[in-house]
Amino acid sequence: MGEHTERFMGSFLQGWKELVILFFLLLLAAVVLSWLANRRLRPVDRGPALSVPMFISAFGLLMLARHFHHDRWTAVIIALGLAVAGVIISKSGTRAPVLAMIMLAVLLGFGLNLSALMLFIVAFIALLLSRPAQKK
Amino acid sequence: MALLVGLGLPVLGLFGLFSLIPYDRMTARWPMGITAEEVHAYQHYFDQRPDTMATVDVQRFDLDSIGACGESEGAVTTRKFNAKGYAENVVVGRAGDAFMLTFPDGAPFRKQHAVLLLPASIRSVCALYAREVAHMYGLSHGNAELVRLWSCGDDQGLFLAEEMIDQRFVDRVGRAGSVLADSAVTTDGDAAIAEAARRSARSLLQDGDFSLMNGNAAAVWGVVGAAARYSPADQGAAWFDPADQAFSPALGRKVRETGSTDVGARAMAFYMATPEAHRKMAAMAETMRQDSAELEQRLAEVDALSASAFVGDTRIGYVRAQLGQERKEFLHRLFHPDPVASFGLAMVDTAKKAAPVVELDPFLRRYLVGDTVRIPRAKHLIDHVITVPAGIGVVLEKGARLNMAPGSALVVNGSLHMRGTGLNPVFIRPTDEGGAWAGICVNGTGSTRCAITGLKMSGGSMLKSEQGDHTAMLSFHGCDVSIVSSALTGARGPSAIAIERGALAMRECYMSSGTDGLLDVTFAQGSFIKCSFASDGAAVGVRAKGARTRFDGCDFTGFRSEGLSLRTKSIADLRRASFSGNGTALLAVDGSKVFLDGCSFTGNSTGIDLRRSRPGQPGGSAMVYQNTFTTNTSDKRVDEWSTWTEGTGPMPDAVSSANGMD
Repeated sequence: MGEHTERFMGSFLQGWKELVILFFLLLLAAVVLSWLANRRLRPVDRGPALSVPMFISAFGLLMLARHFHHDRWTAVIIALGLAVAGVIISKSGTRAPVLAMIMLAVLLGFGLNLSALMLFIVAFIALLLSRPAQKK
Repeated sequence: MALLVGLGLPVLGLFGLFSLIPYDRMTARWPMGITAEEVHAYQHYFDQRPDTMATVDVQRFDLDSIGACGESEGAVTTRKFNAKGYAENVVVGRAGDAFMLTFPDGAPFRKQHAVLLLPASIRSVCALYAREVAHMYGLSHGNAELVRLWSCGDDQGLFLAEEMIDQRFVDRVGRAGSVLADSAVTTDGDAAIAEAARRSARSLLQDGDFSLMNGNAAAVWGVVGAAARYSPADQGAAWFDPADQAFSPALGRKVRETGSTDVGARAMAFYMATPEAHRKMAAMAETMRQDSAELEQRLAEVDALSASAFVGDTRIGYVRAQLGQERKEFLHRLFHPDPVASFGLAMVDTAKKAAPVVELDPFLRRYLVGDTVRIPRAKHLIDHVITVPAGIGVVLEKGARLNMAPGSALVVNGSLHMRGTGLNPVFIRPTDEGGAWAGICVNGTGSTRCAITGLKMSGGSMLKSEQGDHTAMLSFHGCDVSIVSSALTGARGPSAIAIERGALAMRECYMSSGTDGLLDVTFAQGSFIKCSFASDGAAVGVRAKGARTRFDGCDFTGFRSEGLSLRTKSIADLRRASFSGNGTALLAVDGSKVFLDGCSFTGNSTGIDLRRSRPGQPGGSAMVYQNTFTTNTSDKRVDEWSTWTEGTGPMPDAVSSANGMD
């Protein structure tokens, strides 16, 4: 393994305890927001309690953001790209709150915990008060 | 609608939160890993409480260009620097966002020769705290202040200006002859001092000899460094003080000499990691805890002076609260340092290396009585180097005669007494007039007593040693020596008598005819009464380096170079001394001072020469009272860096005693 690769992997694994905590925080947020998005829907219309592709993408992004947190511009570009990806996923018909989860992951990855908390509250209230989407 | 409510409610909550909670709570540690920077950003947008802005009164530095305004990174350029009461061209270097200013030798900025400007944040206040604590506990430190930097008319923002530590800093705050070891190696510093520094560093690093580090200063540095999260490599420098052969730490960034080995920094980094240093830091932290009230007050004053600098478009109350939080955390780290986490832990073999068992030389065994070797009245042939172990003193009784074969020496690691009289002197002579013997060398511990009377000595040279060379035929390191009614002639080494560290008192002695000098006094005190120094071939009479000396009724005759040479901040007080027929009767360079009262200068090429030896050094200074100058080619020569002060009548006692001469 090259020196550069080792350094790159090392930066991912550094602070792994914190990463475990973030994993479970993100998981909790994904479950709560997914439940909110699925609530009031008929059982037949409901999506899964947790969209695995969404969660894996979000957590991967969180890890990327943690790695690039000294280089904000690079991270912003990544965040924007993935946000667009999230929009596209949502266009595909999934009811999971992909965009909110992606943004949440980016903020947690940057260490902007207060902003992540505010985003979660905004998403929570918005989903709580929103009417169920019409089945296409 | 849901989105509007979802956005609106949290925003209202944020306005309420950041406008209502007290600042001291806002600046305290937040839960869930929320950082101070993020809170600060939210406070900036959501804090809507009314507040009074303070008047911003920050020192301003202006950098203007000579020609086109060059701001290229890494380039070293000369630019015009302006600050209150100071305007000079300075050398400006860039490294990222930092500016490095180097001021001209002849025009330091508030005594500073080099300053590093770093972009300041609220955390920069720790640098100010660190220096305040260092100042309070007597640790030497570079200055630091908050300044607003303007470059080519553009406001660059708030910067922390830190004085850099280099040899010129050490010249200012250190004792005479102190060096940053690397600069002594790479510049034209004193090679002997640099070698002594390397030797001390070796003893500290390899043998764990902690007496070679100024323990108190290091403890203060350690506690302050732990509180400010400094590392020795970053904010540490240690210079070597030749007077006590030890390293002294200072707080501040060091100017790095390229291609040099900084033995002081290595010694300091090693010492900071030792259990010995950690124990002293714990004791120092305990002392600081006892002084906590005063420390808190002093740091609060620093906050009060700095708060307005950080205001910008932030509320003063919030800034004060932030500074209060920084102060609280700094004091906590100061009172409860964790040296192992801060500096690591070095494995040190604290068991001193056992001194090798030296079999007593047969010559010494013959005359050993208790713990003293008594050499009686008789002729004794010394034909090799005899070393007297530590703990054994040597006495040469009246009438003792040592005939020294070429290359032979007597090395004493304890006290030395020679008890000659006018009728029965102690003689130390060469066996072969054509071959020089080495020397009588004494290694003391700082105050080891040596008393010599009635000695007649000639024909010796010097002895090279791993513990430090002995550069005279009668040489002392770290001894308290008195020599009375003795005559030393015909030295074939650098000098006849040399003393390094300690004190030497000579009365009614006669010294003459050497190949180079007669007497060297290095980082020691000297007192000379009615002594005669006659050249008879020797180039220099007395050489003083970092020494304090007093001469009463002494003569200096016929030296082709200098009768009395004062270097490296030496101080000499001469009363009724006579200088005749010398090249330069009295030379004082590099910060040396001389006080002259009732002295006569006759037939010298130059009477008194005051100058500096190289750029960056101060010149010499002289205060003269009722002296006579007759038939000298030139009575005095004073360069532009030196001072000449002429008094009237006899020299007042207050003048010399003010310089520690009485």
